[in-house]
Parts: sequence; C-alpha cells; structure tokens
Amino acid sequence: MMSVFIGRFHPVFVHLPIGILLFAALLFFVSKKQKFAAVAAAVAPALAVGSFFSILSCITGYLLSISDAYNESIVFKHQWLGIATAITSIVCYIAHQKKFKYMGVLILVLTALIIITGHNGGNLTHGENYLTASLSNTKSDKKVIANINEAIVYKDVIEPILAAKCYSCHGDSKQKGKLRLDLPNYIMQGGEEGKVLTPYQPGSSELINRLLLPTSNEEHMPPKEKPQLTKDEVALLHWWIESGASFTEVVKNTKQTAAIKGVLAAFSTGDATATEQTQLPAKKVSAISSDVLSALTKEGVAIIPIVNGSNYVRANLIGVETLSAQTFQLLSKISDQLLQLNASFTAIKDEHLSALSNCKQLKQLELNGTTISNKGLASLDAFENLEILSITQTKATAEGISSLTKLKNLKKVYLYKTSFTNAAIAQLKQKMPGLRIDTGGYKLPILVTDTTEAKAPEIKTN
Amino acid sequence: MTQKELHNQRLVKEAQKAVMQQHTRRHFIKESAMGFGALALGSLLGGCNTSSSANLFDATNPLAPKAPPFLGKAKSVIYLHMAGAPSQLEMFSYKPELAKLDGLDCPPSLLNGKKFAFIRGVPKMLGPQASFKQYGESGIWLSENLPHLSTVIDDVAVLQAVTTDQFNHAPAQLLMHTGTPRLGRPSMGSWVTYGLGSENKNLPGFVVLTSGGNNPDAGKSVWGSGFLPSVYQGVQCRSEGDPVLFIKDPAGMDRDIRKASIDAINKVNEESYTEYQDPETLSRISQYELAYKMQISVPGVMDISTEPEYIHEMYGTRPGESCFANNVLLARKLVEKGVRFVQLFDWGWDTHGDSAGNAVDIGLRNKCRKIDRPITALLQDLKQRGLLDETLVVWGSEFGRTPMQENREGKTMPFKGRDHHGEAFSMWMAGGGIKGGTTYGETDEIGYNIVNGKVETFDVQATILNQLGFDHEKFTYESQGRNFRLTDLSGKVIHDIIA
Repeated sequence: MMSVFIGRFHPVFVHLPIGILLFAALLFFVSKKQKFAAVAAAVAPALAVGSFFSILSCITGYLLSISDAYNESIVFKHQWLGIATAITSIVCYIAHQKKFKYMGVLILVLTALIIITGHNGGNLTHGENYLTASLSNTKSDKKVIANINEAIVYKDVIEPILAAKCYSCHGDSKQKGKLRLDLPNYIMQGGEEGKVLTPYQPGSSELINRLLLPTSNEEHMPPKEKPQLTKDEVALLHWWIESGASFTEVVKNTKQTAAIKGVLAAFSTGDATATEQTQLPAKKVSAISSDVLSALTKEGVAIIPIVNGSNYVRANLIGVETLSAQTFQLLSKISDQLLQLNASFTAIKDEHLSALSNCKQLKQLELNGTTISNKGLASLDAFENLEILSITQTKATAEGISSLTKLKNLKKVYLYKTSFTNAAIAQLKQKMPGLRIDTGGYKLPILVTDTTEAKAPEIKTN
Repeated sequence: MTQKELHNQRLVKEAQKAVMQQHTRRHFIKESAMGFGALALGSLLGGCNTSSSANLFDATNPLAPKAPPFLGKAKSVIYLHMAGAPSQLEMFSYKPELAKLDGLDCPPSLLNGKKFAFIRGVPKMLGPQASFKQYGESGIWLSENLPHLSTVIDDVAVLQAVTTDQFNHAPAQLLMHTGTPRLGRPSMGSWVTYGLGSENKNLPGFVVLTSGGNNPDAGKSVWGSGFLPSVYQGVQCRSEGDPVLFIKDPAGMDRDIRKASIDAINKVNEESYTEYQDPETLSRISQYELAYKMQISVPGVMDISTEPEYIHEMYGTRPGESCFANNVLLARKLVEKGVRFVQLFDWGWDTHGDSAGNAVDIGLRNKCRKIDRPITALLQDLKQRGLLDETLVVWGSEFGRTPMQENREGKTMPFKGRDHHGEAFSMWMAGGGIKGGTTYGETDEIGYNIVNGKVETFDVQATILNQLGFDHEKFTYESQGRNFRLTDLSGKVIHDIIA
C-alpha cells in the first residue's frame, strides 16, 4: 500500500517540472537578447532541477496509474508522453552542456511535449471535455433553484434562457434588428420593427411567434445555424408573457399548467432534462473492470452500455449457453452498474435471483418464459429501485402479490400467462394504485373477412 | 538435376514470386501510413476528442452491443413495408369531399406541370372505395378495411402527410430505406445495427422477411449495407422451407467436421491477418463463427410451429406457407430474442386497376385483410410481453396513390385503380416511445397535396434514429473521404408524435 501512498504525490510533483522546465525554456529564449544575456547561466540548473522532478513525476505517476482506475487509453498516452518529456528534458540538459547548435529546436520540442502531456493529464483527472465544455453552451450550466416557488420568474427562469440563446445577437455587444433583450427596458422597447412583446398575449408577441416559425423560414429565431430553444424553454417564455411579462413576479403567484409545473420542477433538481433522464440514477459509477467484463463476455452475457458517457449497463443473458451459479456471481460483481437485466427464456432459477440481492440499482428485470416462481419473487424485495418487471409465462401465482407490493418504486408489471387470479390483481391494484398492470391475454375477434376473399366490389361509400 | 529437383525449384520460385506480388506498393503505403504515421499522429492527438468522426467499426467483434449517444426509448425496430404503395384513400385518409367528385373529369389545375407514372390526358376523379368511421378515444378516422387495427388505434400515431419526390417503386423504396433514390448507400437497418450492435451474439442483428410472392422492386439493395462493413447487411430469412438457404449441413458432413473445417479456414485467415493486417479478414473470421452458431440458433427461432395455438389464432398464421402473418409472428419472436432490426416487405400493393387483384375495391381489400389481423396481433402481443414500450413498429410504403382513377395510356381501365402518388401518403408508428392516438399532418380535401405537417422520408428516418438514441445529424460514417449519414442533408425529428 506504500506504492499507492507514494503514487498519490503525483499531482504534487507533476506541476514542478511543468513550471520549472517551461521557465527554463523562457530563460533560454530570453537570454538570446543582449540585454538579458546574464540569465543564460540559470538555464542549465533549471533544466537539471526540472529533469529531476520530471523523473520523480514519472515514477509517482506510474505508481498512481496501477493503483487507481483511469481511462486506459489516455493513461497509456499520458504515461509514454510523460516518459518522453522526462527523457527530452535530460537530453536538453546534456545538449545544453555540450553547447549543441540547434538547442532552440530541442527546447521547442520539450515545450510542446510538456503542453500535450499536461493536457492529457488534465483530461485524466477532470474528464475529457473539461477544457472545452464551457465553450459549448449545452444544458450543463443550468443552475439549481432549491425552492422554485419563491424564485423570481424573470430573473431566475427567463433571463438565463435569453442569456444563453439570444444575447449573442441581441445584447450588449450586438443589436441585430436594433433589438436588445438583456435589460427589461430594452425588452419592452422592442426593435426596429416595433414591440416584440405584449403582456398577457403571447399569441400576438413577436418574441414567441418568431420562435414558433418553421426553421426553414427566414424569420425564424434563433437563426437555424444557432443553438435552438428547447420545447420547454419556449413553453416557459410563453408562460411568462401569458402571466403578464412581469420582471418582479414570484413563481408561486402565477398560474401554472401541469406542463409548466413539470418543467419548473426540473429546476429544483438542477437537471434541465430531468423528465428524460429519469432512467439513469444521478450517482456516477466507475466503469466495470475489464477482468469482470471479459469473464462475463466469455460466459456469453451481453453487456450493453445504456448510453454514451455513462457506465451503467444492461445485461442480456440470451446468449449464455449454460447458465450457472457462476454467471450470477459474476453479475453480482457489477451490481453498481447493472440497471437492466434481461433473463427471459433462459434457464434462470429462483435461487439465482437471491445471488443478485446486492444489485440495488436494478430498474428493469425481464424474466419472461422462465421457471421463476413465487419463491424467486420473494427475493425481489432486494431490488428497491425496480421500476419495470416482466414475469410473463412464468410459474408465479397469486401468493406472489405480497412480494410485488414490497417494491415501492414499481411502475409497470407484466403478468401475461401467469396464475394470478383476478382477486389477486384487484388486490395489487388497490395496494399500488399508480402501478400499470398488464395481464395480457388480448383476444382478437374472428371476423368473416379474416378468412374470406372479396371477389367483387362491396361498394358502400359514404 | 533430376526432374523432381527441377520441379521443386520451380515451386519455390513461384512461391517467392507470389509473396512479392502480394506485397504491392499499395500495401506498403497503407502499412506505413497506418503503421508509423497514424501511430505518431494518433498518440499526439489522443488528448483531443477525435472520436466523433472516427468510424465505430470493431472488426474483431462487429456486432458487439454499443451504447447510443443518448437515452433512446426503443431497443429494436419492426419495420413493415407494403411494397407497391397501398392507397391511403382506402385506409387512413378520410376524404368525404372526394366522394362527391367521383366520376368527374380531373380539373386541369391538378394536372398542370405534374408527371405521372401512367396517367395520361385528363383522368376521372375516383371517390374513396371504402367507408370510414372514427375509432378509439382519439377518434382517428379509419376505413372499414382495417377492422382490427381500429381496436388498437389509440396506440398508434398516424402520419397523414408523408411525401417523396420519387414516383417509381425502386427509387422510392431506396429513398425511404437508404436516404437516396440511387444505389449504394446503407439501409436503415444496417445503420442501426452498425450503431447499436446486437444483443444476441447467435443471431444476426438485422433480419429481413419478405412475403407476397416477390421481393420489393428495388431488390436486395433496400437492405444492403452500402459502404458500411458487409456484416451489417440484412440477412434475408424465409418462413417456408429452410429459414436461411444452405443452413443445413450437406449430406455426409456432420457438425464436428463442419466445426473442424471452419476452424481450419479461420486459422488460415488469422495467419493472413497477421501478415496483411486487413481488418476485413477479422470480419470474415467472425462471420464464419456467426454462421456456424446460426446453424443451431436460427432454425429454432425461425420455427413458428413451437408457438401455442392461441398465438397462431391471434396472428392468423398459416404454418408451412409463406405469408405475411407468419412473418409478423416471426418478427415478434426475433425481437424477443434480441434482434435489433426486423424488416418485413409485403409485395402486391400496386393497385393500378389493371386486374381484379389490383383493384382498390377488390385486391386492396384482400391485401388489407391479410395484414390487418397480424399487425394488430403484433401490437397486442408485444404489449402483453412488455415489449411494446421498447419496440418501435413502423408501417408504411414508398409512396401513396392518386385521387384520380388511373387511365393507362389514356384508356379506361377494366377495374378501379389509382396511379402512383408521391405528394402525400400515410404511414404510422407505434410503441418505442411514440405517442399513441395522435395524427400528424393534413392533406387537402381530396388527399392530393399537403396542407400542413409535411413529413419527408428523411424525417421518418430521423425520428426512427431518435427513438433509438441517435442524433441523425451526428450519426455518420466516413467513406471515400467524407462523412455520410442516413438522412443525407435533411431530416427533422417529428417531435409531435413522440411521447
């Protein structure tokens, strides 16, 4: 564990060679000027000290990389670029001592290596998009409003939308169409074509109408090559104007439709797309270790990442040739990441489910066409986040109800071809009123036309 | 030198020459460009996010499941294509005004500047050859030709104003499925399989089933892989006889010999890969392995006789025959087993009125009877299995039909038929995060032109990709020096039909 401890000094040591070597480079180029020739003497010691710390950084960095989970491909590049930097710095030092003729080129190479390696290292700790994320104005900088009802409609809800989507052309620096939207008096004043907003009348407010034109229309705002307002954002602007376009009104004093309430509720979670993202838990998890992943793949388990940029997965057991306790042991190792499990039409047994009891994140479980019975259902209560359960064509019966009612987050359950009695279903409905229950068994009436052919027109047009 | 020595010497020379010929200038440049250059450049650019433009093809495991860029609602797609173009005016598009015009000459305003496939001169208007009623809570108008579908219409979103600029079957089918009326681009199913891979390593990711006696006019190109690696092309299966041609081992070849021979071939291919580093070789190896596994898995999943009787009754199947109902049941089975994209083509909807089978009041009625029950059963069966929420079902065709009666070569036709009409036709989608019980788009009172809610073929594709978790503008593949996408340079997601 000593190696881990030493490895964690990497972030401390790593900044020394960056600073010292870049400073050495600066000294080197500055010393070319007659006026600063005196600093030339400092180049060699700076290079020496920088090289020393770059070697130290390499060692600590290596220890850190083997102890913690990082993106392997970036680590690989960072590691070798780091080593290259250290070697180059030593070469620089030696070359400098030997009065190498093209010293400037070497120093430039060293500078480039430091910058690239440093950028790579930054990506490792802060994430690949850290540097540029602030440039692309996506949903990321949506701020959290703890109590949306007390928030001021204009300042907290409307102004950020205008700032993100309108200010670049209708603000302080640019006023296309002589319109500014960055201050209340400018908004009310309008642009060269007159007022853009009529309080209480969103329908006759140009500010809304322009947003609603098809993007192909020249008059559509924002111009089609610029970031567009989302449906929710348009709805919020509409709601603001409809409630009088006040610049001081508080949210709770306005009339809100159900749709607006939903959009506003998303503000308190800080997630603009809260309505869409409910499928993913807010907690970030680490990636599945490559050993476990390859063991699962070897078993025939398909591990499907749910969405780019997240480590949550869905597992499908359809390709497993011989399902054994070992398969489920391996699955229990990905309990943090496992969101959906499809074991339909496999040889999964009741006892296998209890081996998965640590899979607390599980949201969707499909067990269609298996021999799962009430015994298996009894171990479902471990899956406290379960939302969707499919147990069609299984041996589950009415007694299984008690297991289902323990699943507080259950939203949908599919019970087609199970032995749930009507009384049991009614009981389930009563206990869990929000639950969508599908017992299937849909019948299509047999119609004469299903099996006969029309020979002549049967005309009865209306 | 003996004869034998001479012979051996010649063999050695030939072998040496062959090796030299194989190592061409092209190989050298490719290897050095890919080898040294790419390695150096790649590691330098590594810190920057270049993955967006890179192709996602992993030659060793091309069908490995992959994550979509954003959370999609649908995991798989069942696309039902009625090849030949059914008449929207006898199925989804209620036009009472057209009935009043029945038998009258078509006004010149509708004909000026228009090109038709067969109509010449001045045709007569043809009233709807079916009666319509409103169904479901949504009150969507449907014709008497779809009595079963009317019971589940609240699960369906009808697009009433789809449009295409093609008026012949083959190019219109290509436009609908590949994004261009010309040959050579990958089909929708190939794009989806390329982007998402397959959940079942023993089955192909993209399966095609045809019925009605013919393949669609555009042929196999409508499920081709274009410039995508060939592993993503649709695998055509049959519901009669062997599900895939040559799937059985030939007489005298048992499973062990087959395995041994595939292993031997793959070994040679592996050696060839170590020598030339061509990723298509790895693709070939995995294809052989998939084919071997499919010999076991496909006959099982393609056998509908194991389904219980009530399911057969529900779908109205005819086991042992080749028919649309059987294919629809198979589609459900395939999706249940993790197949990503199932594409059905049903041929025989080209109702020109040249025969009773092609009359909108006779043949079309019978075609409707053959699809109405199985499609409704599919929606209900998916629903009761918990699959409808994650399976997008699309019904459509390459274009629609004219409100005028066809007068081929200016003559009166023996039966009531309609000509090809690309300006406006109907499609529908259900499941997979689609808002049921909605209609989108409107045509004029005779169903000739679009009034609002126009949907282009690209919009349909963009919406399908959106439901699977793709931004159609960013889902690209680099080929011949530029990035291509399914929707080419157009396409808007139809947000109004999304739940």
